[in-house]
Amino acid sequence: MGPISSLVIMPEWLDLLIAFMIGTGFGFALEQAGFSSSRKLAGMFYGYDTTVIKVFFTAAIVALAGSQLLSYLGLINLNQVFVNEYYVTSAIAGGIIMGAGFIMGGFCPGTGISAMSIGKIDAMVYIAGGLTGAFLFAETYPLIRNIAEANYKGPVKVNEVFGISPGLFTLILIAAAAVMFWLAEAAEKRFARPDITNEL
Amino acid sequence: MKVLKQYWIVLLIILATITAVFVKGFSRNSFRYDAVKRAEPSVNKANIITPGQTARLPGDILWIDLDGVKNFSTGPDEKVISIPADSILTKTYKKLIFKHKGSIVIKSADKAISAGVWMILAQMGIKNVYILN
Amino acid sequence: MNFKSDMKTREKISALLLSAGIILALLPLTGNRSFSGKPEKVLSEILNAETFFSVDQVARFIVTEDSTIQLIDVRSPEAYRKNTMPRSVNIPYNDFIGNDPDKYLNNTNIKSIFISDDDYYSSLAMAYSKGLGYNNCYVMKGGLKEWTSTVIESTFTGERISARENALFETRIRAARLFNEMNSLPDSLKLKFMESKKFSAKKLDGGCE
Repeated sequence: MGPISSLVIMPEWLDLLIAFMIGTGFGFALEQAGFSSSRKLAGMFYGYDTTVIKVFFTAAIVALAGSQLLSYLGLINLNQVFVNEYYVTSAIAGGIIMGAGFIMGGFCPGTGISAMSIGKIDAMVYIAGGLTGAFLFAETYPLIRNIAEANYKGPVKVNEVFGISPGLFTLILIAAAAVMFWLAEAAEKRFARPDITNEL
Repeated sequence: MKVLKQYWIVLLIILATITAVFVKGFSRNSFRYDAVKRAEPSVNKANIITPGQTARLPGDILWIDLDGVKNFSTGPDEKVISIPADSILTKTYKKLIFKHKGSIVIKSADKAISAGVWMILAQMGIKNVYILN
Repeated sequence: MNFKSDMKTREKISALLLSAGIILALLPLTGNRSFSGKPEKVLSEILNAETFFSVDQVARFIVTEDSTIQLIDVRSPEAYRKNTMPRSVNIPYNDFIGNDPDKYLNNTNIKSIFISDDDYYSSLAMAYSKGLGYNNCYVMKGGLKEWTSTVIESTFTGERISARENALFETRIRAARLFNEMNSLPDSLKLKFMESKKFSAKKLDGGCE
């Protein structure tokens, strides 16, 4: 819990407990939003149910705006947040594989675990497949290393690439989210599928 | 009025946020500047000044001796004060330093002390602070 | 759920988020880091006597090959090549300030001791690091000038020597020998050694890479 533990000295068990509680909250939120339903998740791609983008994007911009405000007020240390290293080729390839897996399986890793926890067999098989894929990736890494590490750009941030302040980028993203939600609602009306129910 | 009633909680949160931002913005008790930018004068040695160069400094000069000796060999009109390095951020001295409009020259026989104090003052936003060589 | 109350909730959340976005856009946020913590606390850490190691303590670290110590020489590369401290890496002050210190200081199990000609640049580097939250930073008091006069040019005058003085003198002699051996290497070998030190320093950083 880097950003918080930089301000408050806490024992490791408390650090891990906070992480556990946040994880529990996340799983709870996913489940209560209905993300254990593969129909809801697949609906994102077919257009009849855009809950996924609305929930995740709202969560992202709330976290973004909130963390930046808290950082400005000195309550958290954003410099301790890990910024992922950006490898262009593997990001594109991984994105395509992940997107295909998402639409075929109807789950992503997080929602798959959430669905598995309520006993869904398709989610269990999906997670088993995901773990197998991860294992195969690790075992074959020496063979695909050149592709995986191609086009390395470092831990880049979007606002740095565009040369704008983080605050301005946040405002632009919030505005983009508003536009996207409006488009999502329009898509739901256009691609409505009354035959697909909200039952799990 | 109706809008205010419906959105009172939203307006309250926005007002609280703006207040917190203003308090933080005008607070002297924190760091809020780009660390690299504030440390730049030390990289190009623009923060070190010889006695001869002090005549070119803009505005009044506040001379601070960090060893408690007041040995600047300056003229009688110069403002010389002696502040132990570890007390420089007490309320009285902080007010004096931040309210001063001209340049600030610090000196200590121990280069480590003057370097440390310079870095802190620079990072707190004071631009015209120099170390006397 | 009531559609009207749904819309009101959405409007409230949107209003909040847009206001937060506008406030953030107007704030002087930068992508770069600023010092953290209370200025008084950082200043007292910088001025604390325990932040400074004497040259004798550094000599002992060198002689005993203490793996929990990292010596960072912040002088220019030319000065470093001329007089290289054993077991040190060279990160010129300009580069240190310009780059993310996390590259050099992220291992909290390692004490980083800054070295310069005197105390000036090493203290600036230490103050900068402590301000950014790296508490494992120290300074070799007196710098290379003190090192030369105390360790390299160490002589014992007197008729009797106590056990403690003998141990101190022996450490100085051994450290001086290592220093002189390092600096008597031909430039090409020295450069190779410095490059390998850079590489091994990176390896010690840890992480998943």
